[in-house]
Amino acid sequence: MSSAPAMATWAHLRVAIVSSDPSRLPVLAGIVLDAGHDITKDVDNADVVIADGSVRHPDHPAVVKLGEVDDRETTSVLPQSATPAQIGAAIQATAVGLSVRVRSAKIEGFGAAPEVKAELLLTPREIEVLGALAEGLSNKGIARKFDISEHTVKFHIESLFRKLGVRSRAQAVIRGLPLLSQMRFEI
Amino acid sequence: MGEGNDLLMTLSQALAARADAAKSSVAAIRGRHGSLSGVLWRSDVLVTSAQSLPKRERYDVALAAGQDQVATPAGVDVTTNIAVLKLATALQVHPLVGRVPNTGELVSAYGAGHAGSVTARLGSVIAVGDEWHSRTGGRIDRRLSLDIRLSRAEEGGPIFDMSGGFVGMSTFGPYRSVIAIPASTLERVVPMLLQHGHIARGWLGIALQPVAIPEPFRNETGQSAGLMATSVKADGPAAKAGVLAGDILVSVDGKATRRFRNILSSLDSDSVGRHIELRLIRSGAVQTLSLTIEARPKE
Repeated sequence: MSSAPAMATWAHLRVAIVSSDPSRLPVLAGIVLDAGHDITKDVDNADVVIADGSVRHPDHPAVVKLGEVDDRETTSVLPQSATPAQIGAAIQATAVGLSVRVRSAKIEGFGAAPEVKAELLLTPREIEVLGALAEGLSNKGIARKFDISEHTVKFHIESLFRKLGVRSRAQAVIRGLPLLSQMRFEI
Repeated sequence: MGEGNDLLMTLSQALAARADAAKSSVAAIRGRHGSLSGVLWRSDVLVTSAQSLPKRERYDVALAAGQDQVATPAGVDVTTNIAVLKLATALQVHPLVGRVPNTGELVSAYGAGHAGSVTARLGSVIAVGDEWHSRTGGRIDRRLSLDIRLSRAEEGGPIFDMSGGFVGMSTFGPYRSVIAIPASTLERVVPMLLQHGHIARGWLGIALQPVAIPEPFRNETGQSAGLMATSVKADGPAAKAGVLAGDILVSVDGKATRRFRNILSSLDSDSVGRHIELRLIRSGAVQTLSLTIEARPKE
């Protein structure tokens, strides 16, 4: 390869804001500008339109709607209480053709208590090691933290990978942490 | 077209007649954004899905049979996903007769649109399973999975079999699958909610995480899995018994805690005040603690 792969950079976009509440405009404008975009009044030529509140949003292929009602036709829908980080990420994602929704507890539905195969359960030490991986610690760092040998750390990590069915530390964290929180319950 | 002697016509008319009959058992509970359906349980009692009911002091209710009404919350049990509303004025309703369907049977799910008009869905019973426990510990008498799609507004309505037997209340399971909270579970829980507003349940005051038991303890405990305490509520029953975060629970009253449901069955509503024996692993040793179950504090 002649050149290193380009780092993914956030695009600089033209964003139009329509709101039913004039006092919200400066807040939303601030979020858009902080995210490094320009604000345009020309809805037709905007890359992304933010439609705030109960405003009838324009016919545009990339609309981020802020409000609770999900009509399932709007490209992206966030709650009005969405954080600046969520709004910024939704603008980027919507501009490249993705549809964004908030992952809500309600989508999870009313379900059964988890029953996990015993051979796939993590040991308390493996859970600790997984937490250390999430902190980005090296094997040496983990060994120091728990006062065990690096050899033992490797042994725990291999076992973690096998139980979680993953091949890297990053995958272990991505798959393992949600799995753990799903299995936790209060009684 | 031949009337009555054509199989599809007969089927179609029979389904329409059933939808018409279901009217008197369905209501819409209106929210700011859309609505939710409910089952008219008794002349002045409406039952619906707790997971989708917004918290309010009062609700506007539109009845499929016609009138608009006001209802007030009478009780909620999130563990069985049942919420009960009391209507301001009593109505004429059809008494519901519970029935457990068989796998493969046809069933209809009814709901109500925002204005209260009845909606009907036809589907079948995918599977009828045993008793199960929800994530929050509620006991559901049967697993009833249905091959039916519902809109959000239709959740909480009644499901009837083709003989008019009341199968249960519709609700969304994981990934928007549709399940029924069985009639027998409603029959058990609704009267308690009407009387007390909540379901008394045993409480340990502890958060647990299933873990593999470390190798050296497998022989001694005879188990390969247990429940690790990840946090202990201050002044809760577990804290008073001396349970510490990090302890691995291996049995309750001699019953292995390998399965989550084993511990839940020790916490039924009549468990409050009972003493139980916890066997656990702590810093390299197996020990036993005695705990007194308390009532779960109201949320």
